[in-house]
Amino acid sequence: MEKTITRRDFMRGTMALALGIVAGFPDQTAQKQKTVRVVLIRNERVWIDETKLNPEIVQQMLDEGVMKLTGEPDPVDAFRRFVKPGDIVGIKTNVWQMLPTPPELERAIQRRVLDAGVSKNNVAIEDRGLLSNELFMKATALINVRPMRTHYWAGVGGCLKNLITFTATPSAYHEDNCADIGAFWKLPVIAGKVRLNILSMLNPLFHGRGPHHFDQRYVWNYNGILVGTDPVAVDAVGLSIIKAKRLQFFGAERALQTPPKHITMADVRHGLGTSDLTKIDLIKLGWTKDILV
Amino acid sequence: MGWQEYVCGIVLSMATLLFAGCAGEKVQHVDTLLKSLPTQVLDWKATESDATYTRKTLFHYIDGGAELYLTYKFQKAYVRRYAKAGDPKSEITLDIYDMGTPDEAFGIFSAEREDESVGIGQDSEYGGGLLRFWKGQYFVAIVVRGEAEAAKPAMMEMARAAEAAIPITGNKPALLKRLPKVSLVEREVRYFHSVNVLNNHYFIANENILNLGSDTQCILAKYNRDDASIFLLLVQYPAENKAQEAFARFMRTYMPEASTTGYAQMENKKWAMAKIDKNVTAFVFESPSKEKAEQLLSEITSGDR
Repeated sequence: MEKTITRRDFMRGTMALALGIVAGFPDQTAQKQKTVRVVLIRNERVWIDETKLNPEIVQQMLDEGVMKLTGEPDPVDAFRRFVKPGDIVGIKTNVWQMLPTPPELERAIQRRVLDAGVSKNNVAIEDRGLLSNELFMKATALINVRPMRTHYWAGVGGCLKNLITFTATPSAYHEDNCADIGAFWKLPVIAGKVRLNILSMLNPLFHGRGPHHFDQRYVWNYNGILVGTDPVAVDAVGLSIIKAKRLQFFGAERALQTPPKHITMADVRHGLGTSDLTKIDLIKLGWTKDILV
Repeated sequence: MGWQEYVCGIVLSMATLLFAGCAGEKVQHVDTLLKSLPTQVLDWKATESDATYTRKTLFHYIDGGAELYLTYKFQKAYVRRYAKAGDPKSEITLDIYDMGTPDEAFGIFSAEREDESVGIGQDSEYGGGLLRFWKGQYFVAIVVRGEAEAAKPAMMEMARAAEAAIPITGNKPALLKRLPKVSLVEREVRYFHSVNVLNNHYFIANENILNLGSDTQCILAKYNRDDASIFLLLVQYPAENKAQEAFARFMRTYMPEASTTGYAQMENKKWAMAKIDKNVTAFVFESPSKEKAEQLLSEITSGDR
């Protein structure tokens, strides 16, 4: 039985020990060996103006990220580590109207998947309609891409949560603030197929309000992309940046509307990856101003 | 629809609502409400069919955010979208939420309030391209995607039209009358039922140690006294035995050293204090001294005034 964690545990600094491992609150006793790699790539000039991205720079950022992630000197070779010419590839995007996956990023991914030799007829980009998308249903490889944002019920929405549209009953996973989002990653339609996770930190939302959980004041141009093969690690790094931004903006620690426990649970309960920041080998490329991590 | 038709629509809608009120019927599920709103406001035109959502379908509209509304007595949502000619990236969405009772409409408004009032409805706020207000049993949210400042005049006009379409006001929750008034930060008074809303504003525990649920009424209020921010939490349970059970669980879990005194100094040197009065429990957090916590608890009224 897990111990009840109270505000006083935070005051005592014993919360990490109580939970074992907590995303964003590294367990000081954890071994320091880095076991998983995540790449953060930032570019100061990726935004042409407040709303328009430079597609060439987005492509360049993605390329640099996957090359560093794989150690390959060429972006197409790097993508060939994730998809093969015979694969049927679903690019799982996010169409949330307030902050969708940038089309420039979708196109950059699609281009490299095609460059890697996958047939044009075997690549699809989809979000809410994927259960009725025949190609997605027979996909052999998935690439998971979405923007990072705070989320009322899950704390944050990142790569882990992005695949929830693979279920016909997403609300079935809303129990306990989406703690068991990791469970649907074991569905046959997903398990073992996600080759790459890309979390857009180009303009994340770090605080939301209202029915649509959106407030323009809390969207900021961070100009970054996180890439990794471990969705838990990618989300854990994204969460740490969101928390740092909230601290910077609000001037004091301000709890997310819901503790994003699903990230930790995806690690400790579902074994999907690593949420402990001390075990993540974060490689930072490019622009460093206000990097927050 | 021209402005004359719009005005007629409003008048008809008001008459319908007033008649329903006079007849003693509960004013809710008024599907004509949205129809009475203008289809064009300044440069913005309604884009598609209006939509309605119920407790069962709200999730399809506000994925992830619906749970907050379902913790209140949300009944139905009415949605209209407006687009601006020549600007496909911009959109204003007008949502009207029938919350079932004025208590609940106030509650959902209070749960996320941050900004200054803009004088619409029984209380309102605008900030960051989001306009929110409540009136009667309705909560209204208007949000823009795109340039917020350019859209603000249209959003204000839409809000006024929605306000006019809701002619009947309502009372705030009676439990609010118990709150001490001195140094109360009015914008930071939250009314709710769910432990999630509590933890959002003041994290207590990862488990529901106060046994909060749809049958509990909760108020979290902030007081600024002597350069300190002190929180007062009131929870009204449906019965005394429920309050006693929850109080005992809280004391056992959160501050066992206070089982006989009701107060304890926390690890951050601030004081917490708790008391129970029939079916209402009261808790003070972050008090700079035991005396100030006692003082705040002593100012809680019986609620009869």
